[in-house]
Amino acid sequence: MIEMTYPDDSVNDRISALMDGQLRGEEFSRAMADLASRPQDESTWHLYHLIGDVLRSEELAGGVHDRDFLSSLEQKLAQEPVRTASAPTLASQAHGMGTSANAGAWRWVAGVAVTVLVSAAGFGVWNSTLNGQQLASTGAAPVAAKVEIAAVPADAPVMLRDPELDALMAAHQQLGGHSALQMPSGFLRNATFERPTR
Amino acid sequence: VSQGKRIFGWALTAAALLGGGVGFTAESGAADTRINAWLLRVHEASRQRAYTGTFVVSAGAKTASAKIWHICDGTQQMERVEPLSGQARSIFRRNDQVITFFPESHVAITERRDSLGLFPNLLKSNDSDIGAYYQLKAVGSERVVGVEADIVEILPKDTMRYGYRVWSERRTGLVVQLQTLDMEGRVLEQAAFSELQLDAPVSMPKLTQMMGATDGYRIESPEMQKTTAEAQGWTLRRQVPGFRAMGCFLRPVAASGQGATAMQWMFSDGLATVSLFVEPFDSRRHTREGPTDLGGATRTLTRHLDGWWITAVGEVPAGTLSVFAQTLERRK
Repeated sequence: MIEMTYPDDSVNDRISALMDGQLRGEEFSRAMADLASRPQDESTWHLYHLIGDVLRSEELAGGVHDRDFLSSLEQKLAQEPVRTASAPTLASQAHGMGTSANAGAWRWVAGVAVTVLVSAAGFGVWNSTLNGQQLASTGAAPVAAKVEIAAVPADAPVMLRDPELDALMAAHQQLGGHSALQMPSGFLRNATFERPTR
Repeated sequence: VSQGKRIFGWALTAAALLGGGVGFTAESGAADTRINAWLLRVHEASRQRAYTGTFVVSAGAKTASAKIWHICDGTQQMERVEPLSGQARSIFRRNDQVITFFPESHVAITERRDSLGLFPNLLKSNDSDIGAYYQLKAVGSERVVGVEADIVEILPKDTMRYGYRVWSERRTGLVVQLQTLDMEGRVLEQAAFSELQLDAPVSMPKLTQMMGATDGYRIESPEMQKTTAEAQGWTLRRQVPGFRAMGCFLRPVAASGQGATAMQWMFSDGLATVSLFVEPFDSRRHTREGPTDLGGATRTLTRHLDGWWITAVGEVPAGTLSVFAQTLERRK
């Protein structure tokens, strides 16, 4: 059973406002700092989410998520070697877990896993998706997409992608048919390999 | 050289090619005509055959493939390319007319690629000096994608260009595999059929109908304006060995957002091509100067020159791009 704590009303109101996405700028920063530094505020944050979950679906009521479990999970995750290529796998696994039979219990884990990933990728992403459920469902997409670009084989040479250079290369290949080997190989080569401009 | 003599010479070479395979040496003084004759035969091969197949291009760590349909009725040449990788698109070509359908955005881009019809005439005219910069070397023969193919290498005589290894179908000369090689003979890029059906029943009316099916598509044409480097105020201090200017265009720079245009000045040595792009320098966008290796045979190099930003792109070694970028100068 979750141990209920009742912080004072002003803090409750602020957490509630934070959840509803109403805090901006300095207020938002202060609330986030409080949340990070005061365990009781974090409990309230979790409690409010649980209330919201239960209101939305009874299935989610089984979500036991004591801080010890979460912090040990966070520690485990922190000990994992940082490998960008593996990040989408973790994110997609976490994403997939949300649809399993024990969805309620796993969604928290997924939420935390994704939160850790998102925190690593940049606070801004987390900032824009305050709701834990959103993080688990939609939050995974941009993170996975972001990492995918870097997911090249370890032995491949580092390649710099530059959309403007790509556009010029496409332009070169479109008009650069000035080769006696152009027909048919060159045209087929460029049609197959061409970097599309739209 | 009279027209008759030239045709006679070519016929002799073609007979030698057809009769005795590729029994010639690169060191021969007649290398010029042999390279041209070989290239012409390869070029003509695609005009006489109908085929379908799967075409695979590998460059650096990237691989792309496409389904190909090709037909020629003697006068008209048509091709359909359905790339299997990357953004969904269908490309149709009738002679020098090319249309690319993007089904997701419902945009169709139509272009005329003048350059496609350029080379047979150049090769026939003996006006090309490909043989002065490359030598042809017979390597042997091999069975690939179900056909007997002769293998030749077209190797550069200097360090300003790459070499090529070409597999061509023995009877017709159709290129079935093409590798671009660096100085050390390493393969930079390969384009090859992984599956090929010669004399396939390809229907020209059906391709024509598909090429014209633009209903529901917004048709766009690249905003290209023909110009000359001279008119734009640019010149090369001296000619880059083997490379001739092939044309010059103005094209909009989409990223500038201010209606700026870039000049594209194109060069070719007959096999390798280089484009020099020149646009006004923009300190926000133009930050990284120097060469870039994106894998494969196509390289790029950028240079900041006074108020201008030069980008050289081509299937040549980085040093050649550097020579181009350094040789380009503003006319006084």
